[in-house]
Amino acid sequence: MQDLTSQALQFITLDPLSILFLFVVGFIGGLVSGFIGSGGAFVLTPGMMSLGVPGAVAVASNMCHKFPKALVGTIKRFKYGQVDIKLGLVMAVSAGVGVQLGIQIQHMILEKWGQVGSDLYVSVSFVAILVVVGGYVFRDAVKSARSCGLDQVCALALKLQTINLPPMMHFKTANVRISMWFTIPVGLATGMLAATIAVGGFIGVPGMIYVIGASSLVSSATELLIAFVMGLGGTINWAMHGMVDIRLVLIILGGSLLGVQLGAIGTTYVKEHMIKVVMATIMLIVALSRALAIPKYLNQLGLTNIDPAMVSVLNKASFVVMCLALGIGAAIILASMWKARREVHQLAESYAEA
Amino acid sequence: MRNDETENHSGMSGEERRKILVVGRGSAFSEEVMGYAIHLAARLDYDLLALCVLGVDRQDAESQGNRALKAVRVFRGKADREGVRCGHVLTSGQLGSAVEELNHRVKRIEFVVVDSGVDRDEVAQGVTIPMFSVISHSLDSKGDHDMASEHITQQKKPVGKTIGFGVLTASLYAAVFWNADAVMQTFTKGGWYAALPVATVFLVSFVHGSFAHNLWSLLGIEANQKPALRQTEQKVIQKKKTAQKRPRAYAYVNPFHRIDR
Repeated sequence: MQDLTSQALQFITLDPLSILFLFVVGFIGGLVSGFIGSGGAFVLTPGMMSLGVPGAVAVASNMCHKFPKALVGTIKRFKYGQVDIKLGLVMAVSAGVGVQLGIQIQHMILEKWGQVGSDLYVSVSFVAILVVVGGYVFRDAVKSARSCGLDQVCALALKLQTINLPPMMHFKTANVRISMWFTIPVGLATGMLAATIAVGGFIGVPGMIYVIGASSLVSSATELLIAFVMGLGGTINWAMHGMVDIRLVLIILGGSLLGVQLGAIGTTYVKEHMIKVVMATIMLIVALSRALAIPKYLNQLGLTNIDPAMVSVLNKASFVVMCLALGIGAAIILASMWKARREVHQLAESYAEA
Repeated sequence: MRNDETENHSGMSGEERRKILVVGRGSAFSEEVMGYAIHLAARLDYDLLALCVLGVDRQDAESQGNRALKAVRVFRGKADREGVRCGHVLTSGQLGSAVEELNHRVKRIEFVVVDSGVDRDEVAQGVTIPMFSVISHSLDSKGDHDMASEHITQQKKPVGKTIGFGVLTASLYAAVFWNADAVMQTFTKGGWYAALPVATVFLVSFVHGSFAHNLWSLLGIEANQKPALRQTEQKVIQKKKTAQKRPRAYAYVNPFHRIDR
């Protein structure tokens, strides 16, 4: 991050089309993150860069829009009794440390293999983690969909909860008592992933579900608190280097504050396994998108020799698939919310008739 | 006596589950008694059995029966949403004898929950069983039903608030974009000037966030009210269920005790 200030800053001029793009992606990203705790960033950052925003400004502006959005989402879902503040703060602090660790690793790789190597590392870890974790979440979602939508606590979490390794921590809302030594690694991993691929929630939420043993409702809500704390810290850091483009932030926020509330409302209607379904779907499609970008880096490293025209097609496809991931996630949320809402209303109506 | 009985849901093979008998007032269940019974059943991991006893008046029998069926369907729907199994019995005649007969026929009714307005002495005529009465406020002075759904639909729409916060949001955006170049220059100076963008987004998150909140409720999109307690409750039930799976040694005083199942 040291050489950021030396980077020539150019803030883009905004045209109506790019304003619309940012607003819509902000709304959909907000909807998804209000529902599963994170999301949107993976489309927004490359999206802004494709509009001509310099990388550092895109990352900074994305982070600056993330924390107010997460704040609004956290407050909303706290009112529904879904946020475990203690768990969120413990996770956020350890994730903060994880971010620093992640940055160090990035630096090491950058020094050893250069920019392309670093990009390749990011993409490969992206694909590997998302396929493994996303696949597991998906399998679990299907399983709990079959058992009438009730969340089953994972066997690993139950096992870890029985190990009495002081200091033990009790998380009231999540209704979990677990050793600090199992909580902190989840936070560290979240932070490291956030530093590497900018979406810590893809590890944080499954971590809280399968390692700590919180329900998916509480995990996704608590992830919003983590995102707020980390986003605030990150934003202050970036803003001190003067990297935040407040215009971009405000346009994205215009959409995402609407979306995040809708997503949060959605969690009160749908069955709990829907959170896992949406998360897994998005993770797997994003993994596919990143996999499409890998040939470019392999080419640049001289490891393969794929036709440049092909590579550019793949690159474009990668971005389209990424947008698709977000769009499909949002569609599932809206559809399941619509269905559940109709059921509730039908119930109320038939009761009024009776 | 006319009996129209639907047994509990499938998946009941194996051990007979414990039940709470819920007695409605005539052909209706108040919101309170449904809520209480479902809540309790979920916590105790019991099943529910809803009982409607219709009057003996022949003329009104059909419409009464239809109303009771509807009420029962609502009840079962609600129970289903909370993952509680619920069966129902519609019958006509005397309340006391209906409960007595049911208590003989259906195994493991642990206790009875009755709606307010139900004569408890009559229910307990022929049986010895604990009974809880739910005081229901959704019945007006005449004992008629006050539509519970009205509470939901007749909420005041926050029109004024939405407009107020909308105007505030718009002016905030206008203030930034009117003078975008100057704002950008000051906001990106770095150092202590970092406080400016951070403060701005906090302000926006409050103003625009409130606008968005009011806008959604104006459009009728609001959270489905579920008590927060339910979240932890599910986990308690879960724990109980896993605990039950542990192998245990049972000593039956009478080895033929469970042979009739």
